[in-house]
Amino acid sequence: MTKLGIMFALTCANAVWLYGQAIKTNQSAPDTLITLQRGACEQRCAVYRLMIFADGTVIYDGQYFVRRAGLIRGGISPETLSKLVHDLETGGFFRLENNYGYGNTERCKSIEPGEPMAILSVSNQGRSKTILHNHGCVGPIPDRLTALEDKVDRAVGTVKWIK
Amino acid sequence: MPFNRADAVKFADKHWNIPADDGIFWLSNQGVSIAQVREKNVIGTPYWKKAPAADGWQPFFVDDGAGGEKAVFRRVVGGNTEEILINPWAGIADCAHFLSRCLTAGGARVAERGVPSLVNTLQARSDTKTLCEKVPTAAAQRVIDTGIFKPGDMIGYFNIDPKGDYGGAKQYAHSTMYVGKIGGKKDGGVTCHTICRFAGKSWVEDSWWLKPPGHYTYTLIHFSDDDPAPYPGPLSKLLGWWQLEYSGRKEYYLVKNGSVAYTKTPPTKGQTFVHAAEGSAYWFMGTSREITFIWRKSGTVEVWTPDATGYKSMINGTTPGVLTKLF
Repeated sequence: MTKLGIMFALTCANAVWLYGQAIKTNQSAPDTLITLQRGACEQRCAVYRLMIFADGTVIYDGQYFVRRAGLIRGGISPETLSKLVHDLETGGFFRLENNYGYGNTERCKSIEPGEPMAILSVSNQGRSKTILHNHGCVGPIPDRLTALEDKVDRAVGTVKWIK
Repeated sequence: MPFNRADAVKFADKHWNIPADDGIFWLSNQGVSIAQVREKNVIGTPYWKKAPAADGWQPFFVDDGAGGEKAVFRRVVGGNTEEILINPWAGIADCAHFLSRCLTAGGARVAERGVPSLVNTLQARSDTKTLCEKVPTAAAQRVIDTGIFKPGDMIGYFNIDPKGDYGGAKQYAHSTMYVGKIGGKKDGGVTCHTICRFAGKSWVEDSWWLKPPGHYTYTLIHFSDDDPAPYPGPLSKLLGWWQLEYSGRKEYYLVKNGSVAYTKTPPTKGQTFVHAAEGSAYWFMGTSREITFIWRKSGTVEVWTPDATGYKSMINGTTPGVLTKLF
């Protein structure tokens, strides 16, 4: 094999390896499961559930005050799911407490009645965590949690079913 | 038959935390008959149980401990309260229905179960006046503080919160009935369902504004048949075109019987309508013959006090104005 041939082979091998890495980083762990439930509020908030599976399959269950009621199957790309898992990780989801404003009000500067409950669960790479979040609980950490919940909605594009 | 405010408020006091007198409460997608749900699983929930009245079960809306409420049957046995869940917070939507029953008890027959339709229906009645429409908290408080808005009148809550219904749709999301400055409510209290309130009795905020600014704007609808009639002498002097000068501006008011519109364009003599009206208001004459104007779009409260030359104006209690009768 000529020098040029060796270089080409090495380049191809490297490309294949890099491609493999790229595929790997865009795939979420097979145990990945994200669920988001949004509850009722006095202003008639949209009440629905979302489930996002490791392969990107999305199940939406619209219940009250939504444009589309009932079950809808959708999907997101592996890249979107991978980014969402990354955002939840870097947003500190697994380091947050299990409950904000539902009995536990320590992290709430104040509590407003009539606000919705959101329940966000994430399973990934052998870890699993569920956080109950009363949106009437006002404070910097609950606000961070709200931002993570909103990322789940944005990744799925829930707005098309509720608005 | 004129609207009987006292009867409407009395009804609300009795039913504020229980289903209304027709034995129904509404979910967002169905009405629930209390008589039926005692015997059958009409909602189709996994937690349904029989709750015969003969066994002491009575329906209530109670605190769910999470900021909302739940519909339950309760009874007390041997000093212990037992409970059967009828429906949790998600899905309960009984505010317009409850308000309809309150107003009907006061003699104003209304049967609506959606807030937007309730607001439309009330605004269309000949015995109501919309004092202000979709105004912020401070403006609505000004209107309430005039005392013209009375117990038995209705408040529509227009959602401006992006988290509100249908993904933050800007529409009427809630309704209450004003019950006055009672129950320790200095701003004024309300009664409603979903969440249940009666000023001074509720487990959640029952001042009329319900939530801090940023959630709602407010529409105040007033039943007007018990408004005092204006004194005939001052009335005849009041009708016609006026010029108001305040803060370096000039505006022109055409005062008619009970209402007024204004324009920035000077009128010509004999003109009987307002070109390009900038706003409209209802006006009310008080016992000392002062005139209170409540401007619909802004909730501005303007008071004209009689003086030697006619009237002097005060806008929102802070800005004086000079009035000149034109013709």
